[in-house]
Amino acid sequence: MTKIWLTRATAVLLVAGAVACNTDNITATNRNPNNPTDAPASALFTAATASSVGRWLGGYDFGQTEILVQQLAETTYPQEDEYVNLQADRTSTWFDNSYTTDLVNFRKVVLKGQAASQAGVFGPAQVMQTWEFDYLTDTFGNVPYSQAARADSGIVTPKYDAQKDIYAGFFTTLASANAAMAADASGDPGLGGADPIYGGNLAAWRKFDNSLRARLALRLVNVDPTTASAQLQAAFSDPGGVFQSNSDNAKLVWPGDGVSNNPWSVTLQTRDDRRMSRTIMNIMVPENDPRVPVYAQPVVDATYFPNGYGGMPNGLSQDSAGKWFRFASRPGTIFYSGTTSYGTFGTSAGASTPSYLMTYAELMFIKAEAAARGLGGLSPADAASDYKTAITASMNQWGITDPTVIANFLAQPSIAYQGGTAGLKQIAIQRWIALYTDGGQAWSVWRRTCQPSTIAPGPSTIVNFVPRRFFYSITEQSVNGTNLAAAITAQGPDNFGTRIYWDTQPSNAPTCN
Amino acid sequence: MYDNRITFDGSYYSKQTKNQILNLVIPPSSGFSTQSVNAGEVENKGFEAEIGVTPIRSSTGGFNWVSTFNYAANRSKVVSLAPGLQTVVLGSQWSATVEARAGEPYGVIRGYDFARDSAGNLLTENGLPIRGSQLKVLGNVNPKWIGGWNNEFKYHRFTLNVLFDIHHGGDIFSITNMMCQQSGTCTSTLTGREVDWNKPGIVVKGIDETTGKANTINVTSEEYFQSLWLIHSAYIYDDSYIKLREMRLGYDLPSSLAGRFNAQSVNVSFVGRNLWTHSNVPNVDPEFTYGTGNSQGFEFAEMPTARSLGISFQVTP
Repeated sequence: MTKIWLTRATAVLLVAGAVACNTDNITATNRNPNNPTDAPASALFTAATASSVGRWLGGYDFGQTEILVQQLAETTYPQEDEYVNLQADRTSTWFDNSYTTDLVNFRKVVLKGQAASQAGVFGPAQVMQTWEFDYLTDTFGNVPYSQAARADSGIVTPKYDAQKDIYAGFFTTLASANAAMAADASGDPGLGGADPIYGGNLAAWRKFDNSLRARLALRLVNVDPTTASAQLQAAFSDPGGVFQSNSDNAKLVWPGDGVSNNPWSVTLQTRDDRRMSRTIMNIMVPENDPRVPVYAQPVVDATYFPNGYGGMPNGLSQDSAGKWFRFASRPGTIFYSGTTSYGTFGTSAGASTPSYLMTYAELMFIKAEAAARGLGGLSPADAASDYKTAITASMNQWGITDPTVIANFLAQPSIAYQGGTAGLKQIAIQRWIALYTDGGQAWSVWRRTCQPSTIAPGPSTIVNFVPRRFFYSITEQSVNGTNLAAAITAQGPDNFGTRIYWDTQPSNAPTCN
Repeated sequence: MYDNRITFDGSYYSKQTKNQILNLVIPPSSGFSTQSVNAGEVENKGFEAEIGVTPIRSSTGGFNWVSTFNYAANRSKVVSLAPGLQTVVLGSQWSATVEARAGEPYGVIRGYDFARDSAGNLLTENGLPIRGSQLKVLGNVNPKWIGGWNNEFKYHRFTLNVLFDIHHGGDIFSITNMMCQQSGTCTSTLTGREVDWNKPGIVVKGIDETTGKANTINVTSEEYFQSLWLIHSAYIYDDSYIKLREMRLGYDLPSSLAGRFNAQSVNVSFVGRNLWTHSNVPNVDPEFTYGTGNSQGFEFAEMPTARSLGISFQVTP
């Protein structure tokens, strides 16, 4: 009896001893050796840059803002044109994914670069952050900025910053990034080949930094002309300079390898419902703009446009829009990559057509307008030549290099610089045309200057005005409700019509009256 | 009991599960989409029972009848989730969600209802119903109880087995019905177009939103059924059903014949499965598998369960 008891007791003790585990290793089981938790700054930069460019110059642009700003229109499925598909269910993605995919990574690159004192790493990342945050705030208004993308530092519900403060933050960041890149140690390897825009060339990044600063500064001119002028001056007089030619353009040349293709060409592989808008074609075609055959293709059926190029109205009903399928011009062949599911257009080179983050042409338009208005220490006497340089630069960028052709275009009475308010209208319209493929920036130009004045909602739009912003993210409404409510109280109701900070004083714009 | 002619087996359980691993959705502006936390408490209480009755018992070779009924009922409740978290979405389709929502059973369907006035009358605009603006809990995917009833009749060498499967309660969102009404391909959409595509039309019983009076506008069948798109409450059905799961008529061969197969016993049966279904859900099989995960209750164009008839040949060596 005792023997049995002892055997059993020993057995129990042995088993207990064996399973009384060392808990030190239990949480180690949570760590997956196949999932890295960190990555080199260079890899993060490349990924975040490709992702953000593909987003703001891809889906957001070709899918939405190009249509909204009436450079493109939709034939078969006009739901974006009718603004139905521009509501929160279709636009939350730009907000959500910018933060979770791009900005969180740009921030990591900045922190890694700062920790290693490598301005060649954190400088470009700060410029890209600013470039991306600009699209976010110009689209939605007040957005999280100072507390953004910091969940790993414990901020899970970031507050929304006022746009005024966000722009102030832009100028500070761009100034300090510029200064850091200027003072960068010569031994800094920087990003090198991991930088798909400038290959790690900091002098080029400084020009982009200052040019971007000028773009942002001019945006504030209706609400804060003092800051606008001061920042323009800082940008144009900085030793790093601004863009000097098209070779300085901030652009992403897509590899075109089937993995990273130009985003317009990717959509056009399977969708044939984009056509040119009547708004842009009715400006460019009568002016014999040499860029028309680049921006657009000849129509399939020339019944309405005997000269071969024309656009369709925006905002039609599905029935009416469908009728324009054969009669309006498709976008230019440079945006097609050859074989599509509905025909062959362009060549495989179309997959590598670059996306332009900012161009020399746009910079010169900014300079022309600043000069015309006497901002930033520039003189109105320079406006005319800046304006001509800007148009020439845009022509060259799009492949038109014959000086006679360009000169003939510039000599036309409607194009030749007229000065005064009429001159400002010309600058705005030509800048809007030059911003083809950057719908977000074109939208900002139209909002601030009210030009081209022919942009108006079509007959079947769900609201009878052109949206001035997009709705806030649905996810944020669910899980960041308190902060979002504060942002809405500060800015105005969350709808298409609320004007964001820099859009609130249209009467101060000479071209809006 | 009664010399084993009545047997009863039952159990009651109450189960609390704490410290679930939840992936909380966090604001994307934080840079991340979800955060894993230990939180949440779910309670399941239920009762399961089996009753067996032998109403007729004879000596070997005579007539025997055994009837067995089993029953299981479970009530779940999401007692709490993480602080500040009201719901975990388990799945969503066409703007309806199935959720684990604090204070509700695990697996409630949430979607849009018709817009109604404070007295509960339907509101209409241009003669058509309107979708309400608030998401509401529209149903519970969990059945009230499930059970089975098996009857075995034996006479000499013949055995007849009849098995019913019963599923009582539980709601589903039938996307198939929403689609077929949208496209006019199911017979329910014949209402309002018995004479011609636009005759006699339909006058929706409700209050016109603009005038405040009873609706008198006649709309076509197409306009009406298409106006129901994404009004989920129109497509939430009670998924109760009874199925004749199996009927099996078998014959045991006499041992002399079985011996020819070198077997102890041989049984030949005719088996029919899924022979008959009774349910209130139109057009679809009430028993379907949308997925094997936590997202249940959405029916979307699954193939119905097949009826099968066959012969079974069982040899025991």
